[in-house]
Amino acid sequence: MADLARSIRCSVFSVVCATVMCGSITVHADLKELLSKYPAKSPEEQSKLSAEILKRDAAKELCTMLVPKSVNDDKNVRYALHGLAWHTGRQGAEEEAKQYTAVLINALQNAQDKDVKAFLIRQLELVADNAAVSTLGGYLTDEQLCNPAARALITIGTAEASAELLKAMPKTKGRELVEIINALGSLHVTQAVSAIEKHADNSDRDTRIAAMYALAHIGEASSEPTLRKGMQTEAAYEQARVSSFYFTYLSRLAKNGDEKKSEKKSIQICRELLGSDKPHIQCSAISTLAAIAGDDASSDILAAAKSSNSELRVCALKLTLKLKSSDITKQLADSIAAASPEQKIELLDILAQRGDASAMPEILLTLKDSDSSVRRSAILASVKLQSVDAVPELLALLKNTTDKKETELIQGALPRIRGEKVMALVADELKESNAHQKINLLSILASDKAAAHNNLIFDLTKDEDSDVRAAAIKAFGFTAGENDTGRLITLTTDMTSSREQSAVQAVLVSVLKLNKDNNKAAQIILTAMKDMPAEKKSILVSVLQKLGGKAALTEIVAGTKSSDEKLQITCVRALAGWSTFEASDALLDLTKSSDSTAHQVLALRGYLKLLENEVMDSAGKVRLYQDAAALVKRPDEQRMIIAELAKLSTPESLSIIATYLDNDEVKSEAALAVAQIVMLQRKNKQILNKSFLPAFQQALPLITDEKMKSSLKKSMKRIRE
Amino acid sequence: MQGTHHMRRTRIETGISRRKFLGQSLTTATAFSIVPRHVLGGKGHTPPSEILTKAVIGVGSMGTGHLKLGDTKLLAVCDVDEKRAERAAQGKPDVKSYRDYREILERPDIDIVHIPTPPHWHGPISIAAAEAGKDIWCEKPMTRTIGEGQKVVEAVQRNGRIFRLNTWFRFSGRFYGSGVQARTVKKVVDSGMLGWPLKATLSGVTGFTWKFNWIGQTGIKPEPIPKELDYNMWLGPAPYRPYFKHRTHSTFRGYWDYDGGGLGDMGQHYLDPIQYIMGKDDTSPVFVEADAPQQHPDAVGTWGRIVLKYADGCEIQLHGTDQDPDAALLEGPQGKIFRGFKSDIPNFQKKVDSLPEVEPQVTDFVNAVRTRQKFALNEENGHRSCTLINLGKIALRTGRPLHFDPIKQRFISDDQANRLINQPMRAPWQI
Repeated sequence: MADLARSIRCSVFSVVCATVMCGSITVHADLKELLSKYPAKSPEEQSKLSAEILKRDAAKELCTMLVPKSVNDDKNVRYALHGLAWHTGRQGAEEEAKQYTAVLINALQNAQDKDVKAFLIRQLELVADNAAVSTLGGYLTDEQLCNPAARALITIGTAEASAELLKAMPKTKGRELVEIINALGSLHVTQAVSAIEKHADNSDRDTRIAAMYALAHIGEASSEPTLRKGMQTEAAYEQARVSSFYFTYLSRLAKNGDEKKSEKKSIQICRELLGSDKPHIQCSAISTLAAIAGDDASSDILAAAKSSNSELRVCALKLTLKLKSSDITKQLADSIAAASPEQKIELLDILAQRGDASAMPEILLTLKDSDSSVRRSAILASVKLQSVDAVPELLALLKNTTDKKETELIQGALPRIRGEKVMALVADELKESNAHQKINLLSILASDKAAAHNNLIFDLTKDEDSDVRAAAIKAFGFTAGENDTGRLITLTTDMTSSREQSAVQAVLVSVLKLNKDNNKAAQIILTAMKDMPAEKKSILVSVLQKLGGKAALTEIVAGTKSSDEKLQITCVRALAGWSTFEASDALLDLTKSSDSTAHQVLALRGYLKLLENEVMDSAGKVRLYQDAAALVKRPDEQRMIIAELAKLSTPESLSIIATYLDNDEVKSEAALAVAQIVMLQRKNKQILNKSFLPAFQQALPLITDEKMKSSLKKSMKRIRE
Repeated sequence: MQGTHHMRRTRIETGISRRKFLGQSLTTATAFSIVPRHVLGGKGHTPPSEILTKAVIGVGSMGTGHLKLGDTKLLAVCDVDEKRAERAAQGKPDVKSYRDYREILERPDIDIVHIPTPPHWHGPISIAAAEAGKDIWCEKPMTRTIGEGQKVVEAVQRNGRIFRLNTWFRFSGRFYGSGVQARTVKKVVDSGMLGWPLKATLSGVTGFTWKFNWIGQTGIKPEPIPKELDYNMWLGPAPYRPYFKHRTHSTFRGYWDYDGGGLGDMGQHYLDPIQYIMGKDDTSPVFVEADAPQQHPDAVGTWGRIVLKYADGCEIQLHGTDQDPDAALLEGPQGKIFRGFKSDIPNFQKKVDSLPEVEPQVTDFVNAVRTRQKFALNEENGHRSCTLINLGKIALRTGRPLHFDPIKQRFISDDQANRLINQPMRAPWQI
C-alpha cells in the first residue's frame, strides 16, 4: 500500500510538474506573490508555503532567482529554498526529498557564482542522499567549494560518499587535501589507509595532523607504527593532538579486525603508556584501558588509584565507578586506613558516589579522623549513602566538635538521612544533653519538622535555660499543628518574658493560619478569651490583630470601649496597627468619639497609615484626606497629611496643602510640598494655573532648597507669560 | 622563558607535573610554621610560587572579564584580532600576547586555559587544551552542537582534566526572577512541596530576558576585512562566509554558524540552574518543539516559545515573544513558585526556612584544580544543560516537533535533525 501511495504521489507530482512547466510565465508572477510571504510566520505557515511551492513545481525557478550576495538581496528566495530543504527532509517525505535533491543538483550545475553554489550545496547537506554524491564530488577540488562539498558528503555518509572522497584525494593538495583526509577519517574509510599514510610525514603540519586523525579514526592494525612515530614529534601541540588520536586509535583497534588479538595489543600499549611522565597521558592510558577491557582492567585501575600522582589517582578513582562489583567497594574502603588525608577525601568522595553502603564501617571510622576535611567528606558520604548507622557517630561528633562549620554541616546532614529512627535518635540525645547541645539538636528536629517529637520540644519551651526555651519555641513553630493551639494559648498567657511571649504568639498565629478561614481561627482565640481575666485577654489581643478578619476586628473594636484600662489601650493599639482598610471606619469613629487624646492620636495615625497604603483613585483619596484634615489638630499628623497629599500631586491635593501655608507650625513642609508638586507636574496646566499663583507666591520665601526654589520661580514665570 | 625551561625540566627529570609540584609544596609549607605567612601563603598571602597560572584565549568583551577571574597568575593572552590581544597584554610585563591559541597550548608553564571565544571555538579549543594537559575554564554556551559537547566530555574525562563552565547561577548569586539562590529553590523541589512533575517557565514574566537584540542580519554585502583581524582564524572550524562586520566580534551571536542568538547567549545561564533544581543533570529532554517564525538559513531570528519535555513529565517552557502573564517560574501539582520567590503555598517562607540544606557543591575552581575535584558546573552537567539550548536551536531551524533519545543523544525517527548533531568542521580543524 505504501508503495502504491508513493507511486500515485509521484505521478501526481510529475503531472503537476508538466502542467506548470508549460505556463512558466504565470508561475513567475505567482511566485513573486508567494515569495512576499517569506519568512513564514510560524512552522505551520512554513509547511504550507513549502507545500505550495512543491505543488507548483516552482523550486527550480526559485533556484534561478538566487544571486550572489555582492549583487543583491535575495533573502526571501533563500528563506524559501531553505524552508524546502527542511520540509522535504522530514520523515516520510522521501519522495519529495528526492525530487528536491534533483532540483538542487540541477541548479548547482547551472549556477555560475560560487556563493550561490555554496548555498545550494548547504541545502544538499540537509536533504540529499546518494543521488547527490557524484555532483558533490566534482567540487572537492575547488578551493572555495571543497569544504561545503566535503561536509555534505560526510553528512550523507554512505559508502558511495566515501568512494567519491577517496577518488578526489589524489587530485587535491593544501587545504582541500586536509579537508578530504579529515572527511575520510570521519567516515572511517578503511580503503583510504594507504593513501593517507603517505601524508603522515608531510611537510605541512595541518596535513600531518589530519592524516593522524584519519588513521586513528579508521583504526587499522597497520597504522600503529605510523601513529606511534607521530607521537614522537617534538612540536608540543602536534604531539598532544597525535597522542590523543593514538588513544582513539587504540579504542578503535580493539574493536576492529581480529577482536581478541587487537584488543590484547591495545591493552598492552595502554599499560606501556601508563609509564608516561605526563599525567594527562597516564590518565588517557588508564581511561582507554578501562574503556577497552572493562572489568578486566580493574587491577590496573585500582593500582592507578593508589598512585602518588593525584591527577592519575583521581582519574582512576573516577573510573572505579564503572566497576560495579562490591569487591571493588571493599578494596577501596580497605585502603582508607593507610591513606593520606588528601587520599582519604578522594576515596570518601568516590565511595559516596558508588552508592554501596557496604563501605560504611570504614567510613564510620573516618568520622573520628583528626583531620576536619576528612571528617567533612565522611559526613557527606554518610548522607549520600543514607546511613542510619552513622547517626550515633554524627551525634557524638556534634556533641564534641567546637567547629561552627562542622556543627552546621551535621545539623544539615541529619535531616537528609531518611528513616524514622534518625529523629528518634536525635530526640533521645536531646534528653541527655547540656543547654548548648540541646539548642543544636532542636534545630535538627525543626529542620526535619519532626512532629513525632512535639511533646519533647514543647516541654523544652519551659526549660530553665532561656536560650533553650528560645530554640524550643522556634522548633515548635516548625512541628506544631492545629491540635497544639490549646497549649500554645496557655503557654503564651502564662509567660512572663515579653520576648518569649511574642515568639510563642508568632507560633500560635502561624498554627492558626493553617486554618484558611481566619474568622474560624479567630473564634478559637475568642472562645479561649471568654472566661479569662482582662490581663490575659490583653495578651491574646495581639494574636487577634495578627490573624485579622472580621470576627477579630469586631472583638477588638468592642475592647476599645472596655472598662479595663489595660485591655482598652491594648485594643486601641491593636486597632491602630490593623493592616487592612476594613478598620478605617472604626478608627475614624474612635478619633471622633474618644475622650482620651492619646487614643485619638493613635486612632488617627492608624487611619492615616491605612489610607496611605490603600489602593484607590486619587480623587477619592484626596477627599478622604480632606475629611481627615478636619479632625487633625497636632502638627505631626498634619505633616503626615501634607506628605501624602504631595505624593498624590493633583490640583485638589495642592489646594488642600495650600491651606497649610498659613499654619506657622507646618508652613515650611507645606511650601516644600507645593514646590514638589510643581516640579513633578510641570507640564500639567491644571497645576501651572493662575489660580495657584498666590499659593506659589506664598510658598516661595519658605523654600530653602535653591533648586526647588528656582524651579518654582520658572514655573511661576511660565504661568505669568 | 627561563620559567618555561625550568618547568619543562621539572617534568622530564622528576615526572612531576607543575600542579602536583605546587600541591606538594603547599603540603610541605604548612609543616614549617617558623616561616612567615607572607612567604608561605595563607589567607590573603598566597606566595607567587604557589599560584596557578593561566592563559585567556579570546580577549573581546567577555574575555576581558576573564583576565581577572580566579586566584591565578595571567601569563598569556590570545586573540585573532591583533589590537585586542595587544590591548589585553598592555602594561603587563609577564603577559605575552598571541594570535594563535596553539602556541599557548604548547607552553608547559600554563596550568589553566580560559576560553571566552565565540562558541564555535569552544569545542575545538577545549578538546585541544585537554589533550595538552590543561585544565579548562570555558565560556557559555559550552558547545555549538550536541556532538561537540559529547566530544568535550570525552576529552576532558579521558585526559583527567578539571573543567568549569562560566555560568554560576546553580551555586552562586540570585537566580534571576526567583530572587533567591538556586539551591533554595532546589530545597523546595527536593522536599516534594510542589509535587511532581514540574513545569518551569523562563520568560519576562518570571524574571528572564531572551535578549532578542542578538538577531542576525540578512542580505548584507561583503565588506573588506580589517587589517588587524585574522578572519580565517576567526572563522576557524566554521564554514567560510564572506566577511561583514556584524558577523564578528560583539554581534556574532546572531548567526547559526557561531551561536544561537539570545538563546545561545543567555540559555545556559537560565537553563543550567533549572536542570540542577529539577535533578536532571545526567539526562536530557525527550521532546522539543518551537513555535517561531521561520528561521533564516544563516541569521538567527526571534521565537515565540520553545517547549522541552522530559521522560518523567517534567517540562521547561521558554517564552520569548509569546509570554503568559500568569506563568509561574515553577509549577507542580501541589504548588507554584512565582517571580520573587512568591508562592501560593500557605506559610511558604516558614516552610522553606525549615528545610534541610541541599548537598554542598564544589565552587572554588582553583581549589578544584589543586585537589582534582569535579567542579560544581563541569563538563558533564554543562554538556547536559547546553544540550537544552542545542535542542532548542535544532527545533527552531527544522520547524517541527522532535523526539530525542537522551541516552544515545540522537533524535528518534528524524534523520535530518540528526544531521545537525555532528556538524563537520572546515579544514584543518577536526575534533
